[in-house]
Amino acid sequence: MSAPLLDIQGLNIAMRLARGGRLPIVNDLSLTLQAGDTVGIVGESGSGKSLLSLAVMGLLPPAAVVSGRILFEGRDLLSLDDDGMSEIRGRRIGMIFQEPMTALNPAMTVGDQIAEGLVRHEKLSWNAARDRAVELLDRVRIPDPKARASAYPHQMSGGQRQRVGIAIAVAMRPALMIADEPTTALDVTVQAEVLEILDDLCQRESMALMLISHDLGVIARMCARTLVLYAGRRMEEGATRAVLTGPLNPYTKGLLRAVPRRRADDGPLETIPGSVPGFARLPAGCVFSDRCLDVVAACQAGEPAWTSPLPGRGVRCIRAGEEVSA
Amino acid sequence: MKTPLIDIRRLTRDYAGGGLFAKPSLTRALDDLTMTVEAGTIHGIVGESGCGKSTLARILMALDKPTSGDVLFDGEPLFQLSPKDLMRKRRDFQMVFQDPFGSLDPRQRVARIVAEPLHVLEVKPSRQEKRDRVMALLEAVGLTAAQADRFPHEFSGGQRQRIAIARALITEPKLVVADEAVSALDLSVQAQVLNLITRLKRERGVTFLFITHNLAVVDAVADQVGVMYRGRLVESGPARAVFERPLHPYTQVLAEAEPSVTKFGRPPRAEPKTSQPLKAEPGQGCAFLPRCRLASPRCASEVPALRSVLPGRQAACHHAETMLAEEP
Repeated sequence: MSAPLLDIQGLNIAMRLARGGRLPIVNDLSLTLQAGDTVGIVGESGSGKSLLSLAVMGLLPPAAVVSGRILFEGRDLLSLDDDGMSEIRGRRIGMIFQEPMTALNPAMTVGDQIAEGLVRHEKLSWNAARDRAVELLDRVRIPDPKARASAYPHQMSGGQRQRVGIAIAVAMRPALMIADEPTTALDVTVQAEVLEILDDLCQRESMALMLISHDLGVIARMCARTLVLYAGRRMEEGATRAVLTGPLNPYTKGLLRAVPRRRADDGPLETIPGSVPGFARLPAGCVFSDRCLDVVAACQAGEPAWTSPLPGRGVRCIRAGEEVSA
Repeated sequence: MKTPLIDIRRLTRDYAGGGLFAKPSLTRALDDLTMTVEAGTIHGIVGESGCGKSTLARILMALDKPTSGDVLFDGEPLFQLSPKDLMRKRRDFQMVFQDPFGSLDPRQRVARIVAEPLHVLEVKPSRQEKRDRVMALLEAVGLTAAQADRFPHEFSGGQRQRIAIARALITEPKLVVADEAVSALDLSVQAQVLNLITRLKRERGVTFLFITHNLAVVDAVADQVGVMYRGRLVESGPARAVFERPLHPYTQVLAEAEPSVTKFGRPPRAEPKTSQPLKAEPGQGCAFLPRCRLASPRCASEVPALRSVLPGRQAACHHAETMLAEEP
């Protein structure tokens, strides 16, 4: 097998605190992506999913302390200097953000914002780059792309702005696209269109996709594999269909039960008790043990190891074995 | 027949647009909207951004006035009341907003935030009475009395939304308008807040107008639902029936576009339209026409009125019967 496109091994991210000391956030995170892979990162607020994407982009805040490895196309991103990282960022790794209005420059036409990267990285002339920008706007299905290239972000709808964001991110034909909640701010019908555009681009360019979302439905639509994060830990990983139809970790099970749906008996909706703890107040042992319905005394004794009870599946739960044999 | 709690009659709201140098234009945010909300129910309103659902909320809260039409609240026309009477009426309707971080004053303690709406009451409760009511409500929404003296930043998103709900309930309102009240919450706490809303309806008889773009959420808690498109109500009926069997093509489009944990991979592509899309003249015909799979020439010339298609079910579509005849 060829070397993976992205190989994250034993990633730890901690934040340096102003009053001294460090607060660990991401713990022992490993993830491998081959070219063309689509993986969904599921997590609620405070799961560390956005820090993970920032780490891959080399955009962690200065207070972050990182250890582990992030190998991308064979190079360790964590040891690259700023110049080396900015060669990769935007060019080999594209990124789409949640809020297209704040991610775009309000004082520059969208055509120029798409062309900018082409001028910088591919050394195209501004004229040639602007022509490419129009092609790209057409690819993300903006009607009348030639005229729209000279529009400013505020003149576009949210869905159109997010398409511009995608056009900017794919302009350089990146090998990996990181999309952090790309459709959360959009209406469902617009969301469906944006997801389809993204899906087309992945397939046509065999671009790998790391999609970060709290919406399990969006992950089911887009990703072949899913990684579930909670409080900075991997809780479960596997093929999306397998994880969503046969979850092994109680947290994944709880999330799936909490998806709102009408109850036949009009009884209350199922919930996960409590709320996501802050990183400073994690329970002892398994980080989910204070909310887990299947908790036993041993859960609090120590943090469960990452195990692989089934081929292609990974899980962090001492009781996952019972689940598999049942 | 019982008087509905809210009786919205031919509500229209135009906003003047156009810049300093641009041609003045009118945007019709609400277009001849008629609907009723029964007391003690959860009434969902769904639709995409720009459909007028937030304008509707603002008008029901009497924060904005309609261009024409009126709202009968408990039988009284809201926009014909004197300012003093309107002020008195305000205790009967309260609102919960989307953003639990922006809607609570960060410099006030929870007890004070929750007690704030009491200033509209004619007879102001005593300090002790105020405090008792705040404590009772905090407990009713699943918080503890000990948390009353904390500040908003000490709470998680779900807890803040509970505080906002407690604040909305302090005047014992008949109606609470919840505009995307659970959209910003994590999945694991979203269901907790939805259960709270259902419980408040059942135990206190509070009526909720639940505005959201998330059909699954409405389907899970609402008794009735109204679907809005471009300022008009295009479908209404019992939530379960509407989502099981939409009578308006737009409702169907919304339901099919919604991602689900049971739909994996790329959805089957809709059959491409062969004919040239029909276009309605401005001001004529159905607003949904350019996106509609059932579009016919009649739709381009005649605005479909909201009409009863089945008992309790209304749709504003010339082809509602076609929808009804199709295999579900």
